[in-house]
This record gives sequence, C-alpha cells and structure tokens, in this order.
Amino acid sequence: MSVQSSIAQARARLADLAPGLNPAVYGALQAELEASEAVARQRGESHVTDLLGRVNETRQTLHAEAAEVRDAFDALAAQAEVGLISASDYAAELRKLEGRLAQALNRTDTLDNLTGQLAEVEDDPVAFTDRLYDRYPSLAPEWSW
Amino acid sequence: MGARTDHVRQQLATLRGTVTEAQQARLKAEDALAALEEREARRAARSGSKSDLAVKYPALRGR
Repeated sequence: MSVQSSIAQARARLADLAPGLNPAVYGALQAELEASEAVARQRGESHVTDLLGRVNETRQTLHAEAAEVRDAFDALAAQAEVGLISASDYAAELRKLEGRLAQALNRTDTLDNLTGQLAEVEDDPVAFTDRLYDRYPSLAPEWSW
Repeated sequence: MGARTDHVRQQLATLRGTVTEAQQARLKAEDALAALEEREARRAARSGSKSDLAVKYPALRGR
C-alpha cells in the first residue's frame, strides 16, 4: 500500500517509524525520501528559471518604457519652453504620458511580487515544491510507508 | 538571499532609478504646463486689451 503526501509529512512519518526499523530498511526509505527531495529541488529550480525569464523580460520592457516616457516628458517640456505647442495640446500629451507612467509603476509592483516569489523558491526549492504538494495533493509523491 | 535574486534586485534598483527620473521629468513637465498656460493667459489678456482699444479708438486699428 502506498501513501501520497508531502515530503515533510513523509519525513515525519519516517522519523516516527525509525526506532522500529532495521538499518537496511531505514536506509532504503531514507533513499526514497532523498530521491523525492531531488525531484522537488529540480522542480523548484525549473520554477526559478521560469521566474527569472519572466522577471528579466518584464524588467527590460519596463526599463525601455520608463526611459522613453522620461525622454518624452523632457521633450514635451522643451516644446513648451519655445512655445511650439498650445497649452491644450500640451495638456493632452501630458495626460497620455502620465497614463503610461502610471502603467509602468503598476508593472513595477508586479515585478516586485515576482522577485519575492523568486527569493522564496531560490532560498529553499524543496520547501517551495513541498508547499505545492500540500496545496495540490494529487501532485504529491507516493510513499511506501 | 540567493545569488540570482540578489542580481535581479540590483537590476531592479537600476530600473527604479529610471522610473524616478521619469517621475521627476513629469513634475518638470507639469511646471512647464503651468508656465505655458500663464503665458497664454497673459497673451490673451494683452490681445483682449488691444481689441478694447481698437473699439474705442478705430484709428489705432492695424497699428
């Protein structure tokens, strides 16, 4: 009979059983636990790679957008100084740029959230994957104890 | 903190610097709008007073 559970739960069960097990059986179960930890580590690492890709792509896009909006504000202000634009056209253009800046700021918050996730997974990829197993038990490994 | 997260946080600091520059540029652009509106208002007032004079003194028209 096999039991499906998180790694932490399997570890706790094994610790309870350990005093009654002979060293060979304990060693085999411990090896099973370590193999599942290796799989969990690999899944966590794969999530790190995925997050890094998303963070970098978003960061590069945002950086380009923020620089473009900054330069556009400067160019607009320069037009006003030389009187090349009416106040109403200027105000309309200014509102558009402000909208773009607000969107960029929102996306910066998203980026902070992704970076928070990245820190969490990178700190302990096994624990991260194990929390996924807790949340989605059908993904959890099967154990012989 | 992991090395990759640390690297990403450094890159985000650079991004924040550019966002701050954009926010400062926005403030300058807002000030420039205020100055532009003031100039337009002054110009309108001047041209308004010229029109008033032209009504009172038609001989001044075109001067």
